[in-house]
Amino acid sequence: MTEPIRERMRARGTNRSDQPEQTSDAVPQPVQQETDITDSFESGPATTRTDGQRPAGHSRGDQAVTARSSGVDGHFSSKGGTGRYFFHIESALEPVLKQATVGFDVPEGVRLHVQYVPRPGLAIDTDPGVYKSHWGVDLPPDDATARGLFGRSIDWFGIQGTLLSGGDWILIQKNGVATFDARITIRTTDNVLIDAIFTGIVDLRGALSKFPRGTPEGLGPDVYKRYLDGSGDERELPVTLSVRFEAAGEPYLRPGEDASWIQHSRYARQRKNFWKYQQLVRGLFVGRGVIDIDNTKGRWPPNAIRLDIFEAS
Amino acid sequence: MSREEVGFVPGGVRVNVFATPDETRVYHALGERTVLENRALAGTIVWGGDWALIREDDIGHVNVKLTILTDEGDALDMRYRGIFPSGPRGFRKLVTEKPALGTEKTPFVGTVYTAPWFDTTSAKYRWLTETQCIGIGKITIVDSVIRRATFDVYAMD
Repeated sequence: MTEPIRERMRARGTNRSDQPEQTSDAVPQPVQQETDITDSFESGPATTRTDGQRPAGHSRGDQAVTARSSGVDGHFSSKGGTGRYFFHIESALEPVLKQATVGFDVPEGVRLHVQYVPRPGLAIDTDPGVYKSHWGVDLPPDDATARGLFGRSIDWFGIQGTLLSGGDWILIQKNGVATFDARITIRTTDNVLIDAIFTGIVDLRGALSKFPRGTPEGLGPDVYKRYLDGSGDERELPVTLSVRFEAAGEPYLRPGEDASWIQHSRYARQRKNFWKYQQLVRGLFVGRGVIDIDNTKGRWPPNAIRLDIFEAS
Repeated sequence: MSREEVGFVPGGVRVNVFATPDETRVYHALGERTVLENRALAGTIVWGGDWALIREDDIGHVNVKLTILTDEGDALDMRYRGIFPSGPRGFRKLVTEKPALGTEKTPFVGTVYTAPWFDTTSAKYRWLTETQCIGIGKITIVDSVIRRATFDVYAMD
């Protein structure tokens, strides 16, 4: 059994001093050197665990495929596709209502609202040794200006930031399948707000060794009953969720429309670095990890979530 | 109310607005219980927000999820989407503040139309889960910032 996530959160550092940085005003330079991915992974800064614990997704061997488990190329693979490791997110979870009974009973099952609770010192980081993309077009600065913001190029190392807020509206259905509908807001170190929307379904049998995934066992009400009773086998529920992002971009201009108003808008600051995050809003991402649950209590109160986010490709 | 201003997204501006927990009241405005036959509602919003999109065509699109704790201790889940016309050039006024939408002296008050629905475990409020509601709200904007939102919610008997 792994150490409770809150203990690991306290133990985790957020030293990003050895990460490359992009300034918002400078025209980024082309790639100067290639990074040895393996070395960077092993000596990586904030996202590399030093506590000897298993990273997210390692609770069940057959599903444990993450960047840090592969340790080399930052990819996961599964039937029908691959994804490139993007970033890691951890958050404590707390039910919105502090009541003896977790969630609402509704005709479909149990509706559960949880808050993502940011913890001091807990950063959202992309390991630069694992994720790096050269994004944009290399042009001399004058040409870049003439062609607009997309005339720039950067070495993009993904997200560095903190979790600002978030919530998940979970429906535990009576067939033992949970639907997730989460929305979190991330503040990046260059002060851009990014919304991440997590959706998907999770098979509660993932927390029951008696009912292994991929088998027809436990498809009746047994799983739901054990969820209500609090008799789970595992303290981690594996989850795989679809993730999409919203980040500030450029407003649409009608043909011939004067764009000067954009510079003076109250959202001029948010769009300043928008080109860095275009890869986010134009891609589909997959989150794989676990939710820490209290399997001894009825309705398995969730304590925390750990996700590795992969860029689907 | 607190807010997170994401900025320009396709079609408009994304602004996340959050109710101030435990200070936002839900109550039966008419103060009498004849209309709903002792089914009036009184409580406090304990958590929730509006993930709103202010569209370029001067229409706001609200997407609200709230958790209400009644004065008797019953928990209610309330959700709705709706439409909020921000008036002529409302989008430009909101984002450029030239001129700002609403002032301290003459705040802009827009009307928002919604269709809430509820979930609850409470037997007392089960009728809410079986009722389609209509919400008509007023959003007060001063200096292009949302100051206050109030809603009248009607049960469609």
